[in-house]
Amino acid sequence: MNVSEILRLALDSLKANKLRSGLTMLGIAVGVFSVIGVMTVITGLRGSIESGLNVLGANSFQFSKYPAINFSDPRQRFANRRDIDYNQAARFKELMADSAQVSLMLRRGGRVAIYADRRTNPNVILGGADENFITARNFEIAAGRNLGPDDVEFGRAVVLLGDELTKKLFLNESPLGRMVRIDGQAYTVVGLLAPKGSSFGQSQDNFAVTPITQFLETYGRAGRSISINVQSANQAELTATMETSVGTMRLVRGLDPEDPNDFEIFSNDTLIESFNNIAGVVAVGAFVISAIALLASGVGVMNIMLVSVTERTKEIGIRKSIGAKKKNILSQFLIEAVVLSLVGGLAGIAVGVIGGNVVAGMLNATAIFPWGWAIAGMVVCSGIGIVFGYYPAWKAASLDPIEALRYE
Amino acid sequence: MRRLYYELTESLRIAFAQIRANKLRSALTALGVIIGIVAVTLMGTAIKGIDAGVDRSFSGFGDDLLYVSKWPWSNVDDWWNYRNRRPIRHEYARQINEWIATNPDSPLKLAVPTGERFTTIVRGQYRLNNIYTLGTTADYSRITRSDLKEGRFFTDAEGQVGANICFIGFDVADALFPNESPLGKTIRIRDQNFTVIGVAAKQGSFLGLFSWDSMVAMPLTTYRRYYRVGEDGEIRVQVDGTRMAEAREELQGLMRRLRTLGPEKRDDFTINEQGTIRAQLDPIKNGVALAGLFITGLALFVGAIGIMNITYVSVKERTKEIGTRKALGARRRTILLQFLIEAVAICFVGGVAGLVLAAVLTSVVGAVAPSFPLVFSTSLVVTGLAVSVFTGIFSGFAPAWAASKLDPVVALRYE
Repeated sequence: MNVSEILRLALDSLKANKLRSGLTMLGIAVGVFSVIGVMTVITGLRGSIESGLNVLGANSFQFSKYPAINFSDPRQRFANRRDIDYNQAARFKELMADSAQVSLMLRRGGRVAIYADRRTNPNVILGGADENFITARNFEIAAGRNLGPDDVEFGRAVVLLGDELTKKLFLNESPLGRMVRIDGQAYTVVGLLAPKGSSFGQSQDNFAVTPITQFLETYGRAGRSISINVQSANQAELTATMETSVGTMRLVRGLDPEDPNDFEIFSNDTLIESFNNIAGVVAVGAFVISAIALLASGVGVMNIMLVSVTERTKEIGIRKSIGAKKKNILSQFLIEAVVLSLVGGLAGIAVGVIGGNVVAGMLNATAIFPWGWAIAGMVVCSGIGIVFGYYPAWKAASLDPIEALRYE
Repeated sequence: MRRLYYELTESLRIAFAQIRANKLRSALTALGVIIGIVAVTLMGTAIKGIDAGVDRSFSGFGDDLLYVSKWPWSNVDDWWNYRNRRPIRHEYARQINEWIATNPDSPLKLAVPTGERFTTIVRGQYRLNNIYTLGTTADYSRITRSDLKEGRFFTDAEGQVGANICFIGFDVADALFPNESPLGKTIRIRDQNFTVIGVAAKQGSFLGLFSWDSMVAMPLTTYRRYYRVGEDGEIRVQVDGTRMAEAREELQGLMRRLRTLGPEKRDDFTINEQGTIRAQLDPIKNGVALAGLFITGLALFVGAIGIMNITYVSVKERTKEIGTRKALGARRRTILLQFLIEAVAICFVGGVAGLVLAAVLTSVVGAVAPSFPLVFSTSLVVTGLAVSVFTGIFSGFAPAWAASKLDPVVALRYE
């Protein structure tokens, strides 16, 4: 007896008991829906949070005094570190100039930007940076020019405007060449940045960037710690660059060999990783809880297969007495169970993906199709069919044909 | 009536005979229900546990306390409005107490001034950051909920002279004085020596929420000597817990008089209570509860489908029997009852087993992870049983209905 015939037999018996098969499939579908739905929501949420964490440019990492994400350690632990001051940062940039692109960055929030009679709310961020800022932070120039090395060298009072700021201050005229005032200092607008959208509900476009030398001139050098962004030429050199720059950083900070690093280093990957540490636990918990329904539906499959075996005892007896082997009977019932689970599973995946994305949409997460989970769902369904179908199938296969024929 | 009774006992007998006849099948069906009930019940205990944990975390705030302060405990948009308010002066506490003395019937009971901030505490090589530091009067011991572990709270006299003494929370004592009694020992706060005179009993915390175990209290006079009290000035007023709303209004009116606000002026203070914080946590908690119950409810739903399925099978197998019984004069009601009882019985047994299993699991979790408070209550047991019976009726009704509608002639002929 070949596979197609076994398959036909299995399908026939499923069709013969439509209500029963339908209910069993519904059980499986609900179980799969529970897992796929929950995992879709969680994957969607994770995806949108991760993309929000992509703040740095490609192949880059950043040095700073404070860690980027900190849930456990008190802030004071880091506050006692020395600031990364401009001399150290400039020396670092000089030393690393050959091997990577280095960008220095300072920022100060809560500024008011003024142009003519228009002024913003006191929530503008003014950054002090250099010519590499654009690539380091994943921005693009929409109009005008970037900051140049000479702007930084001479500390010129020029500024790049973020998109939101541009829209607030300038209605019907080109901002290029105009003067914007922030904290009493006038800056000439030389470039406009393309919009980048928001991250965690926080706009990334409501800011202005001026040369870091100009920033230090205006606001003073004391009590400021510079963030240093290092961007390697390509992915392959990233690790080497990171090692070199940690060494260089220790050098400019004047650390002895036995001292621990007194600075933090992070990249997009470490940001995402530290977030994933938490998200992973949540995902595993959610998976376990949602898989309970799947377990219950597996029990349902087993039960109905047992009924099916009992009902068809006579049929099994006849098939065995005319020469069917144990193997044939086993595979017949196994395939029946697997088909039952797979059809239910497919329905469950479809509903789960739709439902999950609807919920994810309500939570403002990106819509996704969780291929991994869908495939895992199909595998698990077949697994359920095999595991929970095995005992009834085995029971059927090991029936004594004489006893079975006599069964009433 | 008698007849119904006979029918009922007869149905019960048949149903149980049937369950016994198909042991494996009934057991598997019950297993489906057990899984569902265990899941739902455990989720219920977890949700109640979260509630209890939050309760425990907030118990230190006291549910009969009103906090008069400049800032509300929730986030505000119009920051400047609050920023520019006059400070809450500690003087008000005395004035409120005077008013209480002349109005013994009012819902207000006792006012205590406090100042608070987060400081670093040092003892030798040990150092604790971010410790809640409270400056208050001796009256504080009358409104607080925490018990003493050892020592005492400071007295009125000590409070007035501003002695350098302090009363510390359990975790602080534990961290700074491992394996020894802190009483009479010295700790340093802001480079000043403080003698420890008392330790509070452990209150516990939950999921990293603020815990009162990490706090230090000192006399207000002492506190004001070392810290400028402005922003953080606060008056805590103990009130009659049963007349909360009235107390709030009374206190609001009193504060307005003390701060001489004209009728046209808006309040320039905020009256907080612990409910304000809890209200902020509620949406999160409810969301988690809703999602958790929905997902575990799916497991129960799957169990219900299993019962419906198996009852259909049972009806089909016994078509001939139904035909015979009907031909002999059984009513529709009798048949319906018989199958319904079968389904409900399986569910009930599954429900009981599930609850027992859940209770065992709860105590296991309680033993392994005592910090997560699972709460297993009688109301949960009653709900669980009710849910399982309802599940039986819900899933058994359709097949039982189908059985009761069988035409005896057709049923008898069924092969």
